[in-house]
Amino acid sequence: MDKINNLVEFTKVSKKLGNKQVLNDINLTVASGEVVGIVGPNGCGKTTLLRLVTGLIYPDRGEVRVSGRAVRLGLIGELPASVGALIESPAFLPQLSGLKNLTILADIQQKINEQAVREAIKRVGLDPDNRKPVKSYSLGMRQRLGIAQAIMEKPNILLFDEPTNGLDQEGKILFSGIMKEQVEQGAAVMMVSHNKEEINRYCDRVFMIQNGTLHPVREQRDKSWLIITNNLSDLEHIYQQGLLLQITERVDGYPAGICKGKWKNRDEMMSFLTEIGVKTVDVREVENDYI
Amino acid sequence: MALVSCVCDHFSFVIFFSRRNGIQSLNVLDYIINALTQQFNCMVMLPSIFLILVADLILSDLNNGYAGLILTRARSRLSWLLAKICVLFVCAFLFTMICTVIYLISGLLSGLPLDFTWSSHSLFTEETSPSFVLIMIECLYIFGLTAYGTFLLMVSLILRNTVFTWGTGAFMNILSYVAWLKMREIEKWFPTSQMMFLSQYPNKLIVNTPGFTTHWSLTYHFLLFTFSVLLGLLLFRRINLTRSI
Repeated sequence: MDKINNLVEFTKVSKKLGNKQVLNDINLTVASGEVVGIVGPNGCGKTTLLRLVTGLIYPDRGEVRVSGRAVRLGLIGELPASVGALIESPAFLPQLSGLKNLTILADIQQKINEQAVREAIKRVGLDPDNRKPVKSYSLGMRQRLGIAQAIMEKPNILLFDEPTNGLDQEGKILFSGIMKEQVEQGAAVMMVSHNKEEINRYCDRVFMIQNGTLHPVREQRDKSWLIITNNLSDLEHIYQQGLLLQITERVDGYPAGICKGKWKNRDEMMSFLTEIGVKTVDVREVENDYI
Repeated sequence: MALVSCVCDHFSFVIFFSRRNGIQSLNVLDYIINALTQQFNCMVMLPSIFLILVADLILSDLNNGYAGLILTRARSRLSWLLAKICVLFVCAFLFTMICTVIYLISGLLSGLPLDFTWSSHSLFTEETSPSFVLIMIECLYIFGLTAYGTFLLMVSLILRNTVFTWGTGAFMNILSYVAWLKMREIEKWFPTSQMMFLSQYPNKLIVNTPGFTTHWSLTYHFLLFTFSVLLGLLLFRRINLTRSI
């Protein structure tokens, strides 16, 4: 089978809910291994965009393609496959435990066994053997369980709506790690939030919805690089190029600094440094929140 | 709430219902058949209680967002809808069985003997096996509640409101009862009248409506069910599955 690069494609999509034109002529693609963020105020159509991908609603005009297949009514109301979603606050069966809830959901597709469900619950920092009913969970615990249900079947496409709602600092770090894992495994991620800071932190490309149309906010993500040099003058030289550089603690006794930029990979970064005459001991890509 | 209503209904009204028109139950089987064929109980009370149980079968999932978790894993909307109808059938079956068991218990508590033979004071004139009569009544209830419930589930997709759906159901139940009281000739066209075995089988209490037979009722249930599933598919296929309309 041909590998599909763009896992989600919106082509001139419009959608009206009630009397309100929520989306108007939306064009957007999300590729495998990419995180795309949508920001905008409440009620601007962010969640509608995610629902279009799940098939919970269909577009009035235009086409939504998921994993290369158009999301269409069909004869029986077809739904796209391999989509993991956390849309709005997760709703579980309140009287059952987290494990039981997720096992019931996993039984629908029968792709994974209970062991895999347990691993997903552990991955989000919850105890799969916790027999307390979900109704006794805190907001943060429910959100973690919601993230677990979205990732447990290792879908190709992940949709997150305000994913860090109710998460504490530890939960946010955990979520960041999960996102990284999923992207490395080739998942296409769409995330919507009214919190621009959160979106900027996780997403490669960022768009804003205004009056039903998408406006690019950032087309490419700045990556952070830890540059370890033999002497401070090399770091000064980088700074003199007008780049954003922050000196950090020495690494193995060598001077080091974090530099942010649009270099796609380590090779591109190394060739840039060679070009400006900087000799390095090592260069590593680090998390944006490393500093 | 439905279960509490059900128990209240049985224990507070059953004795009154089952001693109508001078017909007195001589054993538990008589008592159960009497209660399940009592017109108000059969056409208004029990269907209304059943509707409390199932009126929000689809809407609650849509409103609390659980449908989203299911549908991202389902192959099609139709499969989810059919799963809901299967749940409805199981609910109808359990509801009928629970009703029977509660009647059985309340009959025993009333001091009636646990005897499964036809009593000479029975309602029906024809000599038929009492177990057969009971099975027929149970089948009418199970198929009737399933077909009627499916129809009201589809109504709930249009109204998008549980209370209005229940209200529609309750109104139709009352119409059935009014038809039974005042316009017996059109009774056979109403959904909950189909569960009224007494109108369909020769008995000592009332004159049967011409053409209103158990066969008619089963056909009526089948057609109502088929119509409801097709209507549901048409609606559910294109409806916005969101919390708000």
